[in-house]
Amino acid sequence: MLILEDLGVSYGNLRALDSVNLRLSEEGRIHGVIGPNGAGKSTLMDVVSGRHRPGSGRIVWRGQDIGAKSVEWRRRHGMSRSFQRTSIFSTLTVLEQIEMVSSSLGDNDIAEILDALELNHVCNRRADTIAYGDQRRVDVALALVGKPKLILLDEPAAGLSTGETTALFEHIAALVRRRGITAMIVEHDVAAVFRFCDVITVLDLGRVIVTDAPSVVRADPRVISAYLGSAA
Amino acid sequence: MQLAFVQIANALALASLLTILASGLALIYGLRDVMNFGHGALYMLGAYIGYSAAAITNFWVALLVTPVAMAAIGFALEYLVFRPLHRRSPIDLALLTFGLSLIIGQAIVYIYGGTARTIDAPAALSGSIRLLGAPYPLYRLFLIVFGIGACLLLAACLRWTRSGMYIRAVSLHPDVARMMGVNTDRLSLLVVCLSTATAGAAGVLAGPYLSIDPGMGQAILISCLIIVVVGGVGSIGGAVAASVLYGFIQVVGSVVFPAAAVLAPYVLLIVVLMWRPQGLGGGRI
Amino acid sequence: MTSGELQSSALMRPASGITKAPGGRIRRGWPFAALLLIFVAGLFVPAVVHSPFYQGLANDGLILGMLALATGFLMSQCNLVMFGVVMFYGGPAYLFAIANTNFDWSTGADVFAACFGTLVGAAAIGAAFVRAKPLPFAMLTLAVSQMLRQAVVITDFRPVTGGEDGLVIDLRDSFLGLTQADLSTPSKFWVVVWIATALVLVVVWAVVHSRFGRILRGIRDNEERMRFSGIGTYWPRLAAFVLAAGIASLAGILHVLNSAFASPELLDFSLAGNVIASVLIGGSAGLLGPVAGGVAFTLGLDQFAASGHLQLFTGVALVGIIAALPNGVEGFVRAALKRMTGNRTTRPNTDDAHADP
Repeated sequence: MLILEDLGVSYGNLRALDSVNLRLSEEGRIHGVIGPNGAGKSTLMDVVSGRHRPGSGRIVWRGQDIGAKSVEWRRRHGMSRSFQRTSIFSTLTVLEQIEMVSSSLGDNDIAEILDALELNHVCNRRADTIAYGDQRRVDVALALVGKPKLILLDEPAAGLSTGETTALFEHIAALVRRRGITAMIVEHDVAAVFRFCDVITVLDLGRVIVTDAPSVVRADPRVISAYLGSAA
Repeated sequence: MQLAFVQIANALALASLLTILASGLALIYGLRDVMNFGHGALYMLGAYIGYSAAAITNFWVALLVTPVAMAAIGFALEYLVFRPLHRRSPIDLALLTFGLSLIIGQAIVYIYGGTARTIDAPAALSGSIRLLGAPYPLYRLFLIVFGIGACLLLAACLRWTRSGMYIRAVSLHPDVARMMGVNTDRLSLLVVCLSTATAGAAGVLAGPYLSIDPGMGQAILISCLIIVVVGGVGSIGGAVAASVLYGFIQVVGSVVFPAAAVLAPYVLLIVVLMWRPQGLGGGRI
Repeated sequence: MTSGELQSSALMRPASGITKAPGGRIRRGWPFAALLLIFVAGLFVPAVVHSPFYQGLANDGLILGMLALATGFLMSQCNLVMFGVVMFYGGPAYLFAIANTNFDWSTGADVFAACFGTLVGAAAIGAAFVRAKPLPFAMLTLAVSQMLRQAVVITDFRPVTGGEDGLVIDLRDSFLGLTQADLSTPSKFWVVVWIATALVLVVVWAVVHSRFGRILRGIRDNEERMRFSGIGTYWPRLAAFVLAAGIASLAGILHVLNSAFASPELLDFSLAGNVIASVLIGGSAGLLGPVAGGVAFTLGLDQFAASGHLQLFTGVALVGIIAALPNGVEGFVRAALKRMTGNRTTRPNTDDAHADP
């Protein structure tokens, strides 16, 4: 479904991504991306979602090379993302903005998403008046509407407590599996990633160190030395 | 040949005046991100203060005293307007300064009435000299020299003094500069006072060259805005280049295509804002 | 501007409570009836106001209010300040006058030509400028409007534009059943302006409360997220710009039908200053605010014009309001009312007070 071929991105002299190869082929799978700071995780998100153009390599989405496609095009063709720094519509209410996006994408079925993300109690509140945790979930909800095939979640649990993080991941995992959406999640909370993801990619200094099942990744010596230490 | 030379000189004279005026506006824009729509009114205020001062003493004293008086006004401006309202959006402040310009304009009409005045050029500069066979007003040559001198002085200050370095730093990266411990408040005061002082000086200089009337502020404001925007955010060098460009377009345009020459500066502004919104200087002083 | 600055801007106060109040249908019933009553009552204002002078002032006030509404709409929904709004006021006035003096068309055709020409111009200008950031946008519109101002007085163009003297209009036939004499009679003209204003208010209200309005506010809040949600951000803003231009041009046409005269003063930047002052006085977010601001400003202007303090009034209004009342007078009054009556609803954002004008 999504194939990244030899993806490379440079910011001036800094090689943010180097020869990244990745394949996401199954529906309903959760693919985690972890790595130390500066590993290139956000750049990966930005390039796949269209916020940034790749310097080299190809991004193939459902058989089509989408390197030149606009951000709007990608969203309309099944690829959505959430943001590390909460990016929502501050003066619209929660319901208004989710409705606005979903209806423009031809999807009227938002009740399940609102339930799953526990947003019903703030539905009619203006988005800039609700709690941070609720705002994070609105950010994710905006990515979940419109029946996307692939969602890219950039540190969805940023700034959340451990409890909130687990809850959020549980919500997302349930929804994603039920609807057959493929999710790529960049996250710092390693415990959550290992618990909820089916496949994990480890990045370091712009390169992929390993892509495999959690149990394999946990034991990989390269990963341990580069990133995990004995934390996992 | 003679005619061309005269036109070039006229363009440079106008450009000199505009440069002095526009640098002040560019400084504030670069440092505080405020488009001071009251700058024209300050220039006018300087002209009238200079007029009064020159009436009592003479041109040179006026040229010395007016900027000092205007700097005091800048002091008030900084503490009463810019500092308390520094969190407001640039548009709010632009409109507020425009409101101030209306108030200043009205105050001048109260005090001086609506008739046009002039400041007499000092005796030493009131004649003309022969340049390439044609007589050319000495005062305009003085303007050109003064303008060049002021530019060089400003450039030198920005380049080689500590404050100048801070000004450049804050204009480029205000947050970083603040974190580095630059006292942006004091710097801001310096820049605002400098800006109002130069506006005042420009006003006095304009006295013998253009006429002094209550409409001169608004008339020159648009030119200044165009120059600062074309020159680029916070870029003094850009403002200078843009002033020269502006002066030439005005003068040459009025010779070549008189009917529509007056539209040329606007076209310039539109073209620059569309194709290179950061202006010629593009963020560097 | 950062979104923090955006929120604190006096002009960008979003229509904070324009949300759908749940179960608001019945509650919305009675304000609607009240508004209808006010509308009908307003038609009879001339019966009460006997002085042609004050009636004329009220007419001017509404026209200024219409301009303020157009400007305020664009400000609050799109975060764009049209410093050059006068180009869509004087522009159609001149187009109408030029059509009238040069062609033997009916008045209706002249009006159509003026409107059409203005909308085409608005589309072209908007297409180029609407992507700019707020301050460059403001200055671009200012530049074009001042270009127009200069252009109409260029001596070479005098045969067409009438130069400094402007163009006198002679309406040879009636328009909407009204002759030129009718249109220049303040009491009769009031009816036309009142109806037009009501229509414009309805249109703007509908747009603001529509999905389109929501998209505009979303773009204003967070353009990037809008794009990442698959919604284009260019065409909605262009449409909003053209709508605002259309409202302004309606004001311009009304003015010129009444005054039978198109002059360069219609393009002065000082008029734009008056419009913006009106918007600020009334508050940009509401609908009635800008209109009321226009009326208030015109009345105040008259007071001050008599004593020669014209500019002072505008200047003080601008300075005072921006400095002291970030939400304009309307916002100030609303906030005061909210404090006095206490929070009527438990959820502070289902604010019905803002849902209807």
